[in-house]
Amino acid sequence: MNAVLVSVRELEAGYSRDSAAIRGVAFEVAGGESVAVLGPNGGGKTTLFRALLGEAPHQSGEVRVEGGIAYVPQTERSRLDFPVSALDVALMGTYASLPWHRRIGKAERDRAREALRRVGLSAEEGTTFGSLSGGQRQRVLIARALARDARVVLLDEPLSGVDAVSARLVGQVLDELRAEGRALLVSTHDVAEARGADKVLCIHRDQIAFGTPAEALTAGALAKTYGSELVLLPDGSEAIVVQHHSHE
Amino acid sequence: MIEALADPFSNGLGQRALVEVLVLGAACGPLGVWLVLYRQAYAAESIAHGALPMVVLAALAGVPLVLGAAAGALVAVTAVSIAGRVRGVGRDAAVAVTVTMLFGAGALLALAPAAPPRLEELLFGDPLGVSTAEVAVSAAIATAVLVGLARNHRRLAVAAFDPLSARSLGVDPRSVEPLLLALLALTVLVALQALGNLLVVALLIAPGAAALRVTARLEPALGLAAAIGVSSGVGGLYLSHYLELAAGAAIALVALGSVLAGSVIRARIPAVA
Repeated sequence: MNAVLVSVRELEAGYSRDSAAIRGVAFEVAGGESVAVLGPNGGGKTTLFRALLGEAPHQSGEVRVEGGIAYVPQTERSRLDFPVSALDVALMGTYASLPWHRRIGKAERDRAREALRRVGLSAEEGTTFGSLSGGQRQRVLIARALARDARVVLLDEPLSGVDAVSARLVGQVLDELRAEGRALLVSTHDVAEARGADKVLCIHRDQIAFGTPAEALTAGALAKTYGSELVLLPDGSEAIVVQHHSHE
Repeated sequence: MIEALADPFSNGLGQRALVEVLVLGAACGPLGVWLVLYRQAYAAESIAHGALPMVVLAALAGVPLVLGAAAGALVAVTAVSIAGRVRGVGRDAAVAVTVTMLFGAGALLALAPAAPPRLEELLFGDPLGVSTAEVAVSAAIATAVLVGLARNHRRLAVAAFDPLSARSLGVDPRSVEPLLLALLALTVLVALQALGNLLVVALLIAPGAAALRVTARLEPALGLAAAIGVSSGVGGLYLSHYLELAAGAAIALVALGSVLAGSVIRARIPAVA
């Protein structure tokens, strides 16, 4: 059993004093484990990630993260007009370990280039970020997290809107990260995607369920998580979530 | 030819003006890149215009203009900050009303018949009128601004590109915008003397905007903006000398011309973008 890298106890967090965006969240993630954070848009997935990053105020509870944390946002939220190349973005992952007075050197460039190689984008290192495809941009953001070299990686719907090639490469990289002993938390509203994770955290303001896919993805838990957005197929064994495009 | 190039700077007035526009152009250019990337061009205009009443009062009282500009920038930043929080009125509208009110008060003071005759230069600037001490202050503050930008380069880049991820990359995004506004206020307070309240925005924004039209990489854009800022200052002084134009207006004209030139280059050579 690997060491626990993320530990959350009875977390209540949000941006307003009157009402918490998430309540009663408690789970642990060990190194080498992936956890799918499943819930509808507006259900608190992003707030949970921000609480883990230290951005959302905790009203109560405790969050502990070991070994540094990297965050991969959805590519739709990144700025396409910013004058940076794929390599520049990957290099941002090295900034936290670099004192302000030290220039970016060969070691940092090598780290960023290796990260781009792992996501299959060595040939695009000089391409402007905004002119890459959506899937390539998502891979660049993952490369930035790889260059960050954190033990805990948060990914906000990494497969949302990406092409098949990118989805396959992203899946491969996530498998490698698990094999390296890193803890992954992947937010999604896709039940089928969540079944591929080691554990699933169902959240809709309150924590609904946490456990292996078999334990957490029960019809009752999905009904509580998605409410009217859930459609059960006639045999009752599969659930399809009606997706929409607004964000939390 | 060499004589024609040297002629505008053959006396003390021209030499001081040359040094003044060199240091201002070198600082305003890179700062302008960040202002454009942070969508703070309106803040630049607001702080410059909102500072006018205090600058005029300093001139009327015989106090160094840079002190008036410092007080003015403080008043403007405070007023803009308070106005932006007024409930029930949009932020843009509240800021626009506040800034226009401050600028109107300053203009009334500057253009009143009882005011000293050269006070209107505060509106349009006069790089040829700067003293050696003022050039030294400009150089010191411009250096401080450039050091501030260089020291915070990585923070500025991360927080502008991806504020949501900034904290995971070791940057607190909430601290970056106030830092940029502080550097802007410092620059405005030294640039007001040379370029005037109305024209300072041209040198603050145009070189950065022009550079970003020409290159799609950050570091080259910062260097190019500095070069455009310096060239606008020097070009404006030549234009002023040979066409007998007001120096501040000539510098603003050349700076704005650089944006047009940048757009033409981008349209004709898309590969540079």
